[in-house]
Amino acid sequence: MRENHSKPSDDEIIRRILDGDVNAFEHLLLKYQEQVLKIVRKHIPYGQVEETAQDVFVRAYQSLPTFKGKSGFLQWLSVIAVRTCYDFWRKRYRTREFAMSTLTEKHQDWLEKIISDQSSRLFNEQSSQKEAREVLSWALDRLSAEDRMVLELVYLEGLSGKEAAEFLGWSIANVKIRSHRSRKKLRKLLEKSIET
Amino acid sequence: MKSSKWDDIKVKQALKAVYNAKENNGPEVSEQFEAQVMRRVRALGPIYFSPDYFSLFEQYFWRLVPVTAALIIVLVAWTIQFDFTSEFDLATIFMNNPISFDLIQQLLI
Repeated sequence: MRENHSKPSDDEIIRRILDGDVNAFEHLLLKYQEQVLKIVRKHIPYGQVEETAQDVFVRAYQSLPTFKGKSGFLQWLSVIAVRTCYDFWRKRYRTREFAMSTLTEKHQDWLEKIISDQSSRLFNEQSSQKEAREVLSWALDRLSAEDRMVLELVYLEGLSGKEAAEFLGWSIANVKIRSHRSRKKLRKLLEKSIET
Repeated sequence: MKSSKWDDIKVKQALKAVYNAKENNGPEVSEQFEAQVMRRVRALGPIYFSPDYFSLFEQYFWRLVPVTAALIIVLVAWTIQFDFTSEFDLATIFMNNPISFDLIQQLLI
């Protein structure tokens, strides 16, 4: 009796989908929607989050026949989410759809204050959070899609080289080299911005 | 504006805080989100598991590479040690069949 009331497992849902039951995918969508949105929100501008999250689920659906269940569905879906974000930036950088704005004096002030001792107080101010977001976005927009993704995963999220390599489908050596170079580029960008 | 002394740790902490806050501060998705995804999924139609023979082969390819490499090394060593076109073997074959021998000799010249 208990088994009838329990929710179907991921494997069971996937088997049903692969047997032709398209509607069973809704179970996976509802179950993992929040985790996917969390990943997408971190990598993609807020305006494009919904569309990109949709793409993640559509890609996952199309790739289901290749799911082997080795590391669990959530891990597999997270990889698809990160790679969809990576593709978003590759496409965006190719078409150069982002605005090449410069940092305002407010942003430069924020950066100056971070380096000085006022940083802890500054984090609590709503207005400075906005500036901080804009500075980060400004700097990341000036990096390539590859540098951006590796910097976000390794430097900002704190993933290991191996984890980032799995997410991006790169070798560990490539992740380490890219990570080092992109950190140097970011530092150069920010240093330059407060010197001017 | 003059730059203060650059502090990697402080800048990293500040940027990390901003980045991690993005996860929770973002806007909620619209109520139609699930319906839109399911519409796109239904438009694709049912998907079925079909064994992809290339990927099945790919799975074993790299496992077989060391064995193949070892086999190649052994074969090369064997070929060098026991000369593949040993003159003695050739002579034995052609002595038993002088017509072919002449023909081959003609061709080689």
